[in-house]
Amino acid sequence: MNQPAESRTQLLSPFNIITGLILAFGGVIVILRFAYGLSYATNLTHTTTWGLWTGFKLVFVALAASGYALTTAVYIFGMHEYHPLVRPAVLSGFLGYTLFICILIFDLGRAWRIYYPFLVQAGFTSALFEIALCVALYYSTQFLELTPIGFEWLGWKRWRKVFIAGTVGMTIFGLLLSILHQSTLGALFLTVPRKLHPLWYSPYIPLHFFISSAMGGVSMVIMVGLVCKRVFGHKMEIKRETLDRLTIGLAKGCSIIMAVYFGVKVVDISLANKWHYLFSGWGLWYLVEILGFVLLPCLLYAYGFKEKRPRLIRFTAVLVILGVILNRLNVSVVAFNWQFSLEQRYFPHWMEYVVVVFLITAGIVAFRWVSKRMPVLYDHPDYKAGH
Amino acid sequence: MFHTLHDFTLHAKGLSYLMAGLLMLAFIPFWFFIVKKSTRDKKK
Amino acid sequence: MSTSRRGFLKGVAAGALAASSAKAGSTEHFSGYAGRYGLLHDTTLCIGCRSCEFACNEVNGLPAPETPINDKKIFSEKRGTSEKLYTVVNSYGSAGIFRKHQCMHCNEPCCASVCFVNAFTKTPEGPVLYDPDVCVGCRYCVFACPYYALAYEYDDPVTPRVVRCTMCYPRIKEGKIPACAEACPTGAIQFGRRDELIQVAHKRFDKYPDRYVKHIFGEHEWGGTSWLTLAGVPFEQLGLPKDPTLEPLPNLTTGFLSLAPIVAAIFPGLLAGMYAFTKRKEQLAEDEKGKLLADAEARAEERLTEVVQKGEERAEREAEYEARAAEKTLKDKQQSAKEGSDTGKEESR
Repeated sequence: MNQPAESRTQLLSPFNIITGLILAFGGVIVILRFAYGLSYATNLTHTTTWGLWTGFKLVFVALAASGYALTTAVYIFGMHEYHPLVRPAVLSGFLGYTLFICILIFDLGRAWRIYYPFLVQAGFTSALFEIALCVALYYSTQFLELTPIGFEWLGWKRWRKVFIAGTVGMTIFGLLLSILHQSTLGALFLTVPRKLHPLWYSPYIPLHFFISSAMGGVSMVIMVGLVCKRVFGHKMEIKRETLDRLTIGLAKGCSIIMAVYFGVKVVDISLANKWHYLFSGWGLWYLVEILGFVLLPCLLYAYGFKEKRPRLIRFTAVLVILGVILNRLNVSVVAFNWQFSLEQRYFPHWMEYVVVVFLITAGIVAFRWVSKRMPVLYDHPDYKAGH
Repeated sequence: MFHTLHDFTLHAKGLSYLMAGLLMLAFIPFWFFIVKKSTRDKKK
Repeated sequence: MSTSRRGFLKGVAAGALAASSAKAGSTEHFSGYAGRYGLLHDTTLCIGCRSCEFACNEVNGLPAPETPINDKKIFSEKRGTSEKLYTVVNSYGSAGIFRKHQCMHCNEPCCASVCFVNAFTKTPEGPVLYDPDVCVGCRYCVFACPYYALAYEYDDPVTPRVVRCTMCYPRIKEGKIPACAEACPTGAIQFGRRDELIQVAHKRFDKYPDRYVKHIFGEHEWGGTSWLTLAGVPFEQLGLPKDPTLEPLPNLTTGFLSLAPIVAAIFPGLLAGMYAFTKRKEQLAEDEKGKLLADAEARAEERLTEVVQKGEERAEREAEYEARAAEKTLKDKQQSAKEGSDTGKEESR
């Protein structure tokens, strides 16, 4: 299935123009940030040193969980009917981690020293060390999992065979690494019990982060699958009815995960006897997050599964994704330093927002570029018989 | 002799990461040893 | 918060454990380097002159603070440490009590435990030092410090550093005392061996019982600090954390973090096992399917042979019957022919 080269009119499509402008403008801001330092592009203070970009580091990793979720389901639990969604899931996961690495580089004071923990001096006591190690290994694993796509595109049959053989091993390793770093990203906050509002602070933050990454990842697969079908139409091989069937199945699984997450959150409140915090401004905001973006979508997924409503499920997936974003931003930025007065508080610089939009746009453009040219949404004709 | 908890933790965790890495590497040949053997017996 | 009571009880228990010197793996007790230095800040003696700020900036090569010493207007708002101010004096409450704030040089520093390049070192002399040559600029230390003591050089695009009070480590190595202690005109800052300063504080409590809250802040809080604070009012009124627990904050993370190598040891076996189970289930299902197919095939073959056999037998029987019937017809014909010829013979005579 060879796509013809894009003609001049296609190059100037509305999508390309808008994304091109965003990428150009964002690129300039990034260059300025590196030319003039963090104070130029951010509002970080000495008392609030991790801001919007840290929040989105957490967001990108949580939503990149689509990779481990689908590969585990298909290769470890043997749910082979979801096979057509594995490649889009791993691709979007890989791009999610790429965005994470990019925004990390923007946020670091001396990004060129990023390899120091591994090659110069290791701080083994740090949660960040474990995250760095696991993400580095996981990123490599995901890349290896994606190489067969490239090999099929290039026609390198022998290479492809070698890498396909390692799929189960890479899936196991990937799941292990994911569990470790998704939860450890939550563990980053264990050391600041006073600074994070009691409703969000918990010794079980790592567990909360891991479960919510699973629900975020599965919801990303649902959303990406349905959006791709809408955008790519017949160029996406899987039939509409089959995709709908898989979507409904994913909704069932995600509903269960979210029910578990909700239960864990309830137990968390009761364990530390935090009920009285719910009756406050912060409590209201917490309830918005838990009831509106966890309990509600959980029930909507269940209903959508029972009544077989793919469109409702897609809407719910967006709700869950927004909820994960909300949760990560609450923990890292909103409910952090909650006791600060308005003057002390940190509010992101407009350039911080621009960089985030810039990265998300780049991710979408990259996904589209790869999916249009390489066997992600369709099987390469040479390898049709199950790979 | 460790004077602070930090020194102790640094040392102990460093060793533990190394142990974990070695164990995971050792698991690979162990797994193949077990799996290959059983399929060989099966085929007989 | 209920953690204060819990923290107190924990502290008592920890003290008891330390006294009995239990040494078993991760419950080991570390008493730190013996003879290390500390500073005693007696806020009842502080007059808010800020000579310490000027002295600190001078020895660290920073420009002098903008507001001169006599200007009391600066106390109208709370200031924090920054890249231009490694220490600050603030005024608290309506009574205008002053307290100097800076890095506390903790016994079990959060900054050291969270740094993923181990850039912080607790020296035998007491100060906690930072190594800018390995720092990657992640600022987890700035994020984690419970006293908000660290600052970062956000303006520098090339060599930004974490900056903080160094307890004048170079001066201590030369046999001098920290610049702030030397500059303080009232003795509100006293430099000496940490254990001796604790004795000094207790003597002050005995001598002036009505002047002080009988507690040395920093002796045990969050594992203890090198900077010990005395006050005549509750410490949280002076901007210090309310009811810190006695357990070092790094412990909140190390518990969970220890799981990482354990998970790495368990999960390959666990997940490979799950995969094997799934494969086994699939294999059994295939075998079952195959067996059913084979059974069905065998039965079908049996049936076929049965039917064929029956058909053959039937055909045989029918053939035999027809043969006999034909034979009989022939015999009858022969018989009637013979009878016919006999009658014919008789007629012709």
